[in-house]
Amino acid sequence: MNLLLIEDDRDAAGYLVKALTEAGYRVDHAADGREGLFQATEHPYDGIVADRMLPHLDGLTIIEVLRKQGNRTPVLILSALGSVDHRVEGLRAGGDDYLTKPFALSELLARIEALMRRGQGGPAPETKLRLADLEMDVLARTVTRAGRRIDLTAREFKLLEFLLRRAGQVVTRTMLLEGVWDLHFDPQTNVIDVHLSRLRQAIDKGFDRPLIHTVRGAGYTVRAD
Amino acid sequence: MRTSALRLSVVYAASFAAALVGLVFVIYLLTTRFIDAEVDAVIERDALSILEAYGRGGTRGLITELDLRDRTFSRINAVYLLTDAEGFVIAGNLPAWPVMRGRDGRWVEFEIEVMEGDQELRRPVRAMVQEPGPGLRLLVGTDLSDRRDLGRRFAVAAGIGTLLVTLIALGIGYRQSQRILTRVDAVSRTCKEIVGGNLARRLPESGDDDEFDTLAHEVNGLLARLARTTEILRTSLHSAAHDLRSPMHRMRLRMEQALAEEGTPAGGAGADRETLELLLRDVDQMQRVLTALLQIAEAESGTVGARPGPVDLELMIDELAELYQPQAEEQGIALTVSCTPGSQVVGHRQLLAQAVANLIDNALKFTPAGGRVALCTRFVDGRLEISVTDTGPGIPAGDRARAVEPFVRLANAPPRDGSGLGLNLAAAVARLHGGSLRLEDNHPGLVARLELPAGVPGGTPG
Repeated sequence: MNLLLIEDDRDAAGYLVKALTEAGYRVDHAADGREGLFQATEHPYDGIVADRMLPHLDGLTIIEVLRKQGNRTPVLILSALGSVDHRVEGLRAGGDDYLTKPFALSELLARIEALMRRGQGGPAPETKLRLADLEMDVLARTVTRAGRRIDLTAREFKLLEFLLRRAGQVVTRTMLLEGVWDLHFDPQTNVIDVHLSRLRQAIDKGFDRPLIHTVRGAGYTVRAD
Repeated sequence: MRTSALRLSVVYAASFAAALVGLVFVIYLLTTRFIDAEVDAVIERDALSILEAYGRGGTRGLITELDLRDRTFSRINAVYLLTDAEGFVIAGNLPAWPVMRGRDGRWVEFEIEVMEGDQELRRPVRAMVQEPGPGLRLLVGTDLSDRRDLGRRFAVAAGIGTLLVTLIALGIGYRQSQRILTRVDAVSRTCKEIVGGNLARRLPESGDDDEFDTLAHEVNGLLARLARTTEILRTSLHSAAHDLRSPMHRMRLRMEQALAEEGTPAGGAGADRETLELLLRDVDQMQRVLTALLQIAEAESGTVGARPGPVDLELMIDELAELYQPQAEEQGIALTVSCTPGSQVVGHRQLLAQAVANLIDNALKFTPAGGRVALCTRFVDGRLEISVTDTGPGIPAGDRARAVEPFVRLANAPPRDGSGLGLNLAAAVARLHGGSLRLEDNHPGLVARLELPAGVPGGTPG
């Protein structure tokens, strides 16, 4: 997967390139907005990570120009500004994402992964989700594991659906809060963890192989192994 | 300034005068139309009665009738003439058959010459021609001089009226403009002073309760708001410096210690995993404080980038209760919700949700196991109130008002995790929406009442 990082802070860019490379991405770096836009138009990238405040061209303008050219590469904007902003809400609605600095590296990696999966864009979203012996019928709103029916509350169902659609990816607490509750703030307590432990009770209790895994310092993931 | 006052009053005067001339003209048109119809009707009636005299007494009867009318002045401004086929005058008050100027069926118009003193006057006449019998021609009409004079009188009236109105309008206009400009001068002088650095200066309010007072009041409100924003920015800067110092201090000590221990038997390879984790935790803490400070500053100064929209409070509270329910259960606290249906406001959903979440968070933090936390929305005097009630230790009466001031942190409030600024942010969000956050005693425990006005910025609740 090819990533373009547009960031003018040399030190921060150095760390990010290293961390993203270690995470398995091939990363190009541009140090200002004009250079970044040039590279983004010249080469096909799977995703772009851009600072919001850049010399010459800011990150949001880069997205606008790319979209006008018909370039659909998903963009993750990094910013030191707050997130309660209609332009940011527009970003999220448009399939791009936004992350406030400073952020945990795990949060960045989880969001890039989610963004690039979204960018690949499959056909219509599946209505039957399957993971090992767990099956979810989104339309009939039923969940079974090993053929046994599991009763979930509406929110637990939504939570599980969100996780199953991102099976194998790391999903952070803020991503869950945004995706499942549509709340864009840090609740400062472990409310999300309690919801997850309830879901885990319902899904994994009594089975040898747990499906919901905690990723230390990052969040959660569902996977079969 | 002076020239604009003059220009304004001239414009006033001209518009009034034009309106007056227009009005007089319309009245003139309506009046003359009415008089013309009346004149025609009178002539017709008169002619009819003269013809009746012919029917009763033939030509002789007709002559007697006309003579009688001429002598008795039975009708003002009446004109009669009876001639034979050759135009020979038989009776009437005209010397000869006149030269007609206009003809419309039986109706004719002409002018007669009359000597008044030694002046010869031409007077317009409207008349009707009849043929009472073979070889006879009868003219029955009315001298229209008075009606012609009417037009002149209207013109004179319009002229005098226009002159008067112009003078009065100029006077009033000039006085009004002077008054307005005096007030504008006062405002502009005050503004110059404020720009000059005297931020405490306010526009004079005369107490007349006129538009200028309303404007001065609004502008003073604006100035107060700006002063408040400036004050908030100042205190936020202070507070940020203060709140960030403690974790920074800890970090510095840890890093120095790690450096000092590097290479010594006690420290091994320097910064170990535990130290790094502690440092990371301190950074996270600083980040939370910074985020909260930024949000409070944004909300207090009203510089939130997002646009307000309709928010279903009932739904929002239900969702938040659902979000916190499992945690409350873990802590052995009963979390209950009672919502008044239809509680909708226009506002910032994310901020409102965060404000209420902070209140719930706070309540859960301080309520012991076995306690209760209740969420409730209701209408109080046309305002919407969201209350979060707990059975924790509460806040001493003396500290309650201060606890919701921007950036004030109570000495005995342990920050635990989080920024410790949750109540401050909730209060700032309430103020942003034109409402308030009040803390009250729940005997025992705390009631936080987040009050929102019916009319919230950005429109009316829909």
